[in-house]
This record gives sequence, C-alpha cells and structure tokens, in this order.
Amino acid sequence: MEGKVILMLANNNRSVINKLAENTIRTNKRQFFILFLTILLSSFMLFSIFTIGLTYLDLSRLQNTRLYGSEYDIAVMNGFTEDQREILCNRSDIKSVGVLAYCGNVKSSDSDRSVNAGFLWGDKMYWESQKAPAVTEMKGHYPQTRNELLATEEVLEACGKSSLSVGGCLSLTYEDYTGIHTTDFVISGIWKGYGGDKASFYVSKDFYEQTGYDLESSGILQVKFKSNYMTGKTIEKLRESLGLSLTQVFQASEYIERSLTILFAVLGLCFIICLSAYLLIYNILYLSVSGKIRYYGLLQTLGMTKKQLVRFIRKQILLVGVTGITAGIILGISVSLILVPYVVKVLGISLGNTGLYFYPEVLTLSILVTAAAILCGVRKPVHIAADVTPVEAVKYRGNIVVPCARKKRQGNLYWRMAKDQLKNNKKRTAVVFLSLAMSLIVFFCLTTLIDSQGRRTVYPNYWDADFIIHNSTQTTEDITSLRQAIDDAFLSDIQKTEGVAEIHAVKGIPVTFPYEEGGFSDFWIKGCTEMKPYLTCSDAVSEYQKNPEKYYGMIKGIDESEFDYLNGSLGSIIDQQEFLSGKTAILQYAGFEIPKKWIGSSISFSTGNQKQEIKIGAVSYGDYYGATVNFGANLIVSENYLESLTSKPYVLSLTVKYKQSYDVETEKEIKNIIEANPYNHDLLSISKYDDMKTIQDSQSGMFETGTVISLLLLLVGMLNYINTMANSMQNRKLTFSIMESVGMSKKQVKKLLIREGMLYAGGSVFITLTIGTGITWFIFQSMNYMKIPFAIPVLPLLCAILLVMILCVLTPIVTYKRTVRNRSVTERLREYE
Amino acid sequence: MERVIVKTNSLSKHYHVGTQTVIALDGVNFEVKEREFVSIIGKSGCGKSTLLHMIGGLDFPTSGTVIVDGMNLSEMNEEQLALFRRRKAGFIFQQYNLIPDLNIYDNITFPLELDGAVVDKEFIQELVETLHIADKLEMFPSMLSGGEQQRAAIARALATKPAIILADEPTGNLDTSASHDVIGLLKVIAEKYQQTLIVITHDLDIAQMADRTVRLQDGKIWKGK
Repeated sequence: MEGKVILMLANNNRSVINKLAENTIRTNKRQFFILFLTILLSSFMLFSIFTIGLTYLDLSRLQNTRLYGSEYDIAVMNGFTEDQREILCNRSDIKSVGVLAYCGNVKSSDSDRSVNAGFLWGDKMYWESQKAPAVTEMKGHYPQTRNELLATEEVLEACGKSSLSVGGCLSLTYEDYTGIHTTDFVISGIWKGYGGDKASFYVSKDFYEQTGYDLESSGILQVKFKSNYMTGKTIEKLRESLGLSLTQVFQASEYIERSLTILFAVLGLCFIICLSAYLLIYNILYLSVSGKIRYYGLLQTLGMTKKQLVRFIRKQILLVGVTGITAGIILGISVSLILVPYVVKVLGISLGNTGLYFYPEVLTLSILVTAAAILCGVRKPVHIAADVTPVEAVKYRGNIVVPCARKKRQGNLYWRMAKDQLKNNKKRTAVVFLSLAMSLIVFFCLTTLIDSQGRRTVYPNYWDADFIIHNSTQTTEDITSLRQAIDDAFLSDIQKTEGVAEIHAVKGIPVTFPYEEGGFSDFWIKGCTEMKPYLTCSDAVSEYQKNPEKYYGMIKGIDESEFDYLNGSLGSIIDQQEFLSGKTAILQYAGFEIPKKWIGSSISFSTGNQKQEIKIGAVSYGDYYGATVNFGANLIVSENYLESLTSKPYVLSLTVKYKQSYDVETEKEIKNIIEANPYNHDLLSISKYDDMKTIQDSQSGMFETGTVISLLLLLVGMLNYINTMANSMQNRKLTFSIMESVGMSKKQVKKLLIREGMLYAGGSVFITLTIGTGITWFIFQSMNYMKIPFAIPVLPLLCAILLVMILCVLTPIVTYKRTVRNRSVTERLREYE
Repeated sequence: MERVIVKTNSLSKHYHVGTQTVIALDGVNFEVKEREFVSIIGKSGCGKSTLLHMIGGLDFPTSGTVIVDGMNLSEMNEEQLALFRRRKAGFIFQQYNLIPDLNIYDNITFPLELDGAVVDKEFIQELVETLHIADKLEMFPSMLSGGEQQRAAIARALATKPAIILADEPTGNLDTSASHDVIGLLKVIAEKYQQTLIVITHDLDIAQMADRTVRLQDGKIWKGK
C-alpha cells in the first residue's frame, strides 16, 4: 500500500444521519425534553415580554397624553409669534404643531348664578390630532360659528345644565378682555375623555377673535415630535432656535424629558432578557451535548467521521430547536394575545383603546435571538464531542469541572459543599442568579411603581386633605351674595361620619376697604384693573369711591393648627401670638405683584358699621384660600379675631381628613351629605380619592399589563430555575450515588440541596435588594413627579422573595427525588460503568 | 475461635431488564470470619459485585438475609443502611468513585464529616503517608493518575476505621506493579487495624494473596465438581 493515497469520497449518508438523529431524540426523550423546554421557555419569554413590554410603553404614553389632556411633547406658553410657529412647522422632526388659547371665563348661567368655567379655543391640528387620543367619545362637532360651544358633561353640570344635549341652548354670562357679556349659546358637541380642560367650553375661531385675547400674548403652542425619544440637547436646541422672550415659557413634558432614560431602561431590560435567554440555552446545550460524549465516542468507534458527528449533533439540535422555538412562539401568542386579554376581560379590567397587539418585529427578534443563542451555544460542546477520541469518550463519566487546587477548609460540610457547587459551575450560577434576580427586580420595580402611582402623580390637596368643600355661593360684585351653605348641622354631620379623623373650617365675612388715595385700597383696585383690560383705571377708581361694596373683600379666620401649617409653608415668619391675638393678618396674592412696602403696614377695613385696622404680616401665594371670587383683598386672620368681629361668620371652606386615606365608604357618605344640602350645586368639592381615580382611569390597563409582565417574568425565572436544576440533577446523578455509597444518607443529600437552594435564593435576593433597589430607586425618581419619599412595598416583595426561596429550596429536592426514584445506589452507580 | 463477621443466608437478588428477569444471586450462603482476607473470583456477570454490594448495604436483597457484625441489613431502612456504610464498611470501587467536586483531603474525610466526627488528623496523615499521597491532598481527583486516585479511594475507605473493607476490583484499572502495591498496602493496613477484607478480582495472583478464595458461578458459590 506504500505510496498510495486513500481518497475519501462523499457518500450520501444524510438520510442515515437524519434517521439516527431522530431516533436518538426519541430514545432520549427525558434529556431532550429539558433542552426543548429551555428553547421553548426562551422564545416564549422573549416573545411575551417584548409584546407586553411594547404595549406597556404604548399605554404609558397614552396615560401621559390623558394626564396632560392632549398629545404633545413641548408647550410654548404665554403667547407665541407667527415666526416661532413657522420655525416649528418647518422642522422635519416635528409631527404636529397645535394652537390652544384661553379666552375668557363664565361667571354665571341662566340656571346658576355662580359658575366657575373657562373658554378655550384650539385650532384644527390641536383638536383633530393632539386632543383626539384623550377624547373617548364625541357627539356633534367642534364649534364653527360664534354662538356654538363644545362642552363636557362636567362643565354643563357646573352651569346647572346637566340635562342639555347636542343642539341645546343656554345663556351664559362671561368675562373676556372686552368686558362682561351675556350671550345665548348652542351646544354644537359634547365630548368625553381626559384632561384638565373638562371644566371648560371649547369655542369657535370666530368667537375667539372677538374676545380681545391674542395668540401673541396668551396663546399656547403645543408641539409633538415624530419620535417618541428625544435627547435633552435636541430639546434645548429647539428652545434656542425659537428666540423666546422673557415672558414666554418653554415647557417639555415629563415623558419626553425622560424619554431617553426610558429608552435606555427598556434597551437594558431587552439586553438582560436576551443575555439570560442566551446563557440558559448555552448552559443546557453544553450540558446536554457533553453528557452524551460516551455515546458520540461509540459512534466514532463504529466509524462515524468527525464531520458526520458534527452534522449528527447539529441535526439533533436543529430538530429540537425548531420545535422548541415554534412551540415557544405559539405559547407566547396564546398567552400574550389570547389568554392575557381574556383574563383581563374576565376580571373586568379595561385596556381602553390600546390592547395587546401582534408585532411582527417582536416575532422576528424572538426567533433570531433564540436561534443565535442556539448557534453560539452549540459551537463549543460540538467541538468537545468531535475532538474527543473514542477511547477518551468511553472513559467519560460526565461533565466534570476541574476546579483549582484548594486547601483544606473549615466550616460546616453542607454549606462548604453547597458553596463549591455554585463556584464550580459559574455559568449555571450566573444563569440562575440572572434569571431569578431579573424576575424579582422587575417585580420589585413594577410593584413599587404601582404602589406609589397615586401618591407620585396625584397632586396633594391643601394640607394633604382627603376632601375639601368650598362654599361658592358668592358672586363677584354682590357683598350680600354669600350664603351659609356649610352650616352647623352640615359640619356636625361631616364630623360624625365614621372614618373622618378631623375637620377644619375656614370661616369668613365679607368686608369693605374704604378708599384712600395712595393707600392700600387704591393700590389694590389699580392692581385689579391690570388683570381686566376692559376696565380703565380712572373709571374703576371712581366706581370704587361710589360703591366700595362692589369691590368687597373677605376676612378669613383659621384655627391654630391650620395657622401652624400655613405659617410653616411661609417659612414661619409670622409671630404666632401676634396672629392669634388679631394684630397680624396674612394677605392673599391675587395675581398681581404686591410690593414689599405693604408688609408690616396697617390697613383699614369695615364690617358693617365697624371700622377695623390690622397689620399685614406676610403674603400667601397658595391658591387654597383664594377660592373666593371677590374683587377686594382677602385677609387671613385668626379664628378668635374673626369671632370678635362677628358672631355668625360664614364657613368658606372645609378641610376633611380621613382616618384612612382613599377610604371609599367615608367618601361616599360625605358625598351623600353634600347631595342632601340645599346648596349642593354651590358646594365645590375637591376629592383626593377622585383625583386618584382619574389617574387610575387614565392608566387604562397599564398597570395590569405591568403586573402581567412582572408575573410572567417571575414565572419564566422560576421555570428557568426548575429547568436548570433538573438538568443539574441529571448531571450530578453519579456524584450523589458516590456520596451515598460512602455513607451519605438521603436526608443528608437533602440537607445539602436545601443549602444550595438557599444560596441560589440568597444570591438572587441579595442582587435584588442591592442592584434591584438601585434600579428601582432610579426609575422611581425619574417618575416621581410629586417628589414623594421612596418607599418599598414590603408585603408584595416579601411574598415574591418567599415564593422564590420556597421554590429554590424545593426544586432541587423534588428533582433529586425524581432523578433517584426508587433505585438503589448500586443500580445508579452501574449506569456509569 | 474467631467469630463470623459476615453471614448470608439463602441470599438472592433478581433484576428486571425489560420483560426478562435476571438472577444475579441465587440462594447464596456465605460466611467470612473476623480479620479474614477473602477474595471472590468468577466470570463477568456471575454476581460477584452484587454479593459485595449486598454485604456493603448498597442494595437490597430480593430474598434471604445479610448479617454483618451482628446487624441484619435486610431489615434496615435506607437511613440505617447509610449509617452502616458510613461506620462499618469501607468501599473501594474499580472506578475509584471519588467525588469530583472535593479535593483529596475532603474526599478522604468526607465519611467522617458526614458523621459529624472529629477528624483524627494524625491517623489520616499516617494513612496518606502509607499510601504515598500525602502531597496530593489539595488536588482534585481529575488531577491525579489512576493509581493515585485508587490510593485516595483506599484512604477514604479506611478513614473511618471500618470493621470490614469491601473492594470491588480495586486493581482493574491499574498495571500489574501498581496492582500488587495496592493489594499489598490493603493487606498490611487491614492486618494493622484488624479489619476484615473482601476483595473481588479477576487476577488469580491477587486472589492467591488472600487467606481464602471463593468462586462464584451463575449466582451461586461454586463448590467444585
């Protein structure tokens, strides 16, 4: 044979290899099932999390739109120029530029003499593009003619016209920059939806143009970008390009300002999910292929070439991979697009306009990531299997990791061995930690956000009250208009309500400020005319001199505890004794600048025939006490001082605090008491519970979706752990048999496994509580609009941790029992001989 | 007269492979006296390992009894058998069966630690020096040669000073010189600590080193024609 060259000619052995691959899978169902399950879980996890995640992002954008009342990223307020509008309209990165403008306020209707509502005008772009996502129902059309109004049920109720429908008429007295007018209007449309504009009427362009308001001084430009993610730099450049005046305000929405943070957080989560899927598949593939080295050696002994062996292994993985990915995607579609919406529907939760949609890019990404993980994961074990000689393969006794030489150590045997297990198989440990910790972190993060949602986003009422009732019976110019709508019986009913912890009444009486040229009343009336362009200063002063009652003000008395709160908010600048004894008063800001010279000066006022004098100690800029509609100044004094002026003060406002915030029953009872009040239409209520409900309503399934994501991740994390442990037990069968052969009892094996489980759980919980708390804190703060303190929802987190711990401890024991079954040590040892 | 330490009465073991029943042991009556060195020989599949595993409490008999040092293993539950293996028997396998995750020292002291016993360091040192593995204690099994691993396995079997040492072809993976060294060492140590030694072997030279040789054939003790 010397000098001869042996040529290997290609045989058509593909069908033999394919058949062998299929048979191997069939006869090793148990091992291949674990691999199949891993691939299934990974593709399922990727598909479901990305599908639900994208929906979550859509919902959070929708919530933002609803909270703001329309869809925009930037608002230019206090007027704008045509040039600025042009600049914005010409930019290629901007989707829409809408115009919104305030143009007057309603003072009364033919059914209610005291109404508090506004007039707004929005252009076509605003109404049809930006406002549309916040409108859930629309009857009729946007106003076209001067006498048409677009209303909400809320504003009609405020006007005492709740029975009106589209086409109905009402007479309104309103104030604009040209004066006070009474006009008959027709309701052109009624809309339902979200936003702070529900207490306003929308008017036509014709109407707007005759109100005296102009876009240059009071219009609002609303800008929506094409992209949902913008850098701070782009926003800043946009601001600079507009050349804003000193009075103009450029405001970016919270969402767009944080959009990049959100994007990075989402990309980070995607990366972790993909990495976790990759590690999981890699680990199981590695163990699966290397666990069959003896078999592959046997095939080589029988004459299979390395090339054929590689093809054989790849064929097996391909079969399992394709089946696993397909099953995972089908499961993902079933759970995300069928099961979750069904359960959500059964539970009566509305997903609003946004449901869970099928995203083709998610399907592609899930398949690509899973396939890439399989391709990367199979490379190394295939090389090991192909490179091992048949003789080495026959001696192969499982996947043994060679640790570094280690000195004798002290400490408990079980803990030591458990720690070694985690150290010796770093990839498996990483997979378990990553997958469990990720599940827990997402759960932690979402429950923290869900738990704090109300508090983070609901503006706290004055004094953090649960319910505030304002007496709005008074009219602007009639000093006798105020009624005792909140009388003693009403107060007593509220006080007696179960669930009410305390009530604080702000009492008051109308007073007049005699005109003094150059004095306080002169300053005040001139300040007021600045706010009303239709009034000339000289006319107003001469009218004031003739009828000071028309410009009446209010003395408001507060109790000691309320004073402490108010004084605290002012920086404790008022001496308590001076205030309580009636020497000092706090002046209420009314929209124009109050020079410092008035602080410390005494002002005169009259109650009936009595003339009084009091010193101004400070100016309060809060709007709570400013709910009264009178022209004249409002002075806040002590309750005792007020009672020295009159024996029968009016109750202007009532602050109610509950024993338990957001108590539905108490809320219901208070509303019933208000309903029974003859002045119920003139009692203006502000409810913390209602505010919270409004926000919850605007979320429309967002948190249900979030909860589904976190529970899915938790479930997938747990399934990953169970799968990894099942594989690990298969791999360590021989080690357990050896340990039992030298005297380790099953009880002792369980002790060891419990400690291993505890270490896995402990590690994951540690990562969750450290890195997870950091991530949660960061996300929490980026959405903490109300700057509330960071608080962890202890109970749900503890439950999740407990669940993970139980699972971590029980899984190895159960999988060990299943691996051992009832076979004797000898039987198990013989498997490896 | 030396007392009997191992006694089997009509010991049988049947395995089920698919629909077939394999009779590994068929009514074996067998005795070993205290401090005796017995070798068991026989063809592959004749039941040698099964007999040894029964004596070592690694498997349950189908019928019959195994009495070791006065204890009836057939009546013990799994926990009691584990305790028996840990305290009374020292097992040496052909495949060494060292725990791959533990270093040699931890492997040797493993049965003692399972018992929560204080490790007699002087005794372990004497043992590893006798077995020439004193410099391998920090290494892991996969770092050692076959002979070194087998000596580590012997050290582990002897660490608890068991009454009986059971060796299942301890020299199967070793060359002739190493085989004689290992058996020589086992014999010296067993004599030194007054232990009973039962060795399964294919090697007749090694079998001849024993006080008595028992031959198994088709699951029964062969008594000659």
